[in-house]
Amino acid sequence: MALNTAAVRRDLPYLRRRVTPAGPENAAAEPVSTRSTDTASPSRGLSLGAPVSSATALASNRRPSRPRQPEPFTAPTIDEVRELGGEHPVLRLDARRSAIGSLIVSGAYAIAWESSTRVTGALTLTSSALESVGTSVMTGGNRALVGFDDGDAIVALRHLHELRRALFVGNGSEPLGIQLFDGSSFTVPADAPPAGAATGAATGTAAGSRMLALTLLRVNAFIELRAEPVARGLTPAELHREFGYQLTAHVDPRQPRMR
Amino acid sequence: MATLIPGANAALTAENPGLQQVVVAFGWEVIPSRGPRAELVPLAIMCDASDKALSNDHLVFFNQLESRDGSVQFVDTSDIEEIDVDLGLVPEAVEKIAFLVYVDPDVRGAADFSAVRSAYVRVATSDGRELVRFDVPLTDNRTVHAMLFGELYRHRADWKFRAIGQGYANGLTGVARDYQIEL
Repeated sequence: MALNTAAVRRDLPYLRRRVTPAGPENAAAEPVSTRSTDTASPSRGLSLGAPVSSATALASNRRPSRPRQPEPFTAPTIDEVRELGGEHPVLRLDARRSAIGSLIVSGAYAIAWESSTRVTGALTLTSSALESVGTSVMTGGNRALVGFDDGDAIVALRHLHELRRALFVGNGSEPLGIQLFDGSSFTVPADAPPAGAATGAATGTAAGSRMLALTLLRVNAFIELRAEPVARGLTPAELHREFGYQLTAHVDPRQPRMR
Repeated sequence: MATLIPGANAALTAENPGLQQVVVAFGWEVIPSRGPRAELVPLAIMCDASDKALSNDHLVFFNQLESRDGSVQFVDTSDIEEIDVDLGLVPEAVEKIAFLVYVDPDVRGAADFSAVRSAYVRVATSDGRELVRFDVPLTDNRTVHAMLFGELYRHRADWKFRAIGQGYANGLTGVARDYQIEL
């Protein structure tokens, strides 16, 4: 059968092309405008960005509740911890603090990230430049998901769900300072506590062989922050290996070839 | 369908007997930019008779998708600007549900409404029939970082929707103070 290559017919008002609803991934590709679907097409409902199918919209007047996620283990909050280290190696942010504004890490010279789609990359601040390896992850807001800005490492919490984990490493002589949108903050001391120390904050000496790095892990809607002892003097590449970051090869985006 | 102006209200259940579930949907456009772009986030807060949030759990946004009682929830986890409200499940203690939109306060800029155009909120039935719509006036919004678009509220045995369009120059800090929530 020959293809119909005629011009679009506009003289048939009783026929209308039905556009297949876009999936969430298609909707995400159009971040500039966020609009509801056409009101003239009630079967498409009011789903914004990812229209609900007519069957879903009409058949289900009441949406089932989401299955509850298992509760994570009990962990201190940022209100309870001023210094992350020997006594409190981990803290967890609530759903609000995990998702609003920026998580700012001051004093970090090397950072690494892994997105929820396993895209990894790393940045290292040197005295003269910013060295980048792996692949950066840009958000819909035209900002890096994890990156440096004005000397501080920044995590875009609006896009928390695009992040799986991150690593922040200081220079080993200065503590890391962490700050959130609401002004709450804590520090990670440079020195790791001595091995076997039962209690107490960082009591190691500056000459100790180990220092503390900060790791970030997203657990569903929550961020867990942990102080991890690492050997001093490791290069960024050795740190990536130590924490299991296999950096994604960077590929320059190109315009698709048009025939 | 009714289009509201700031301060106007619509009697949802009185004019639509049997209405049990509504969808509150938001839309806007952001002027494209090569640099950081404003990212708007809808937020629903369930309030008591004194206009304060019942608790921090009575807040629904993209990272807290459902209120504890299940009466208010985001439709999906993929940042869809649509919130379902099951009026029949809303606890008696909830007198009002405020619908706000804030610009995410990322420290890397573009944290106000100046690039936002054509913002609206509308209320529809669960099968998509639009009940009311409010086109939010956006004039001189360079200092606005959050905005109360409208609110669902009890009026005797009924539910009404009020269009508001009130901006917060102090952003989420002001919202947290007004509704006494931890943000």
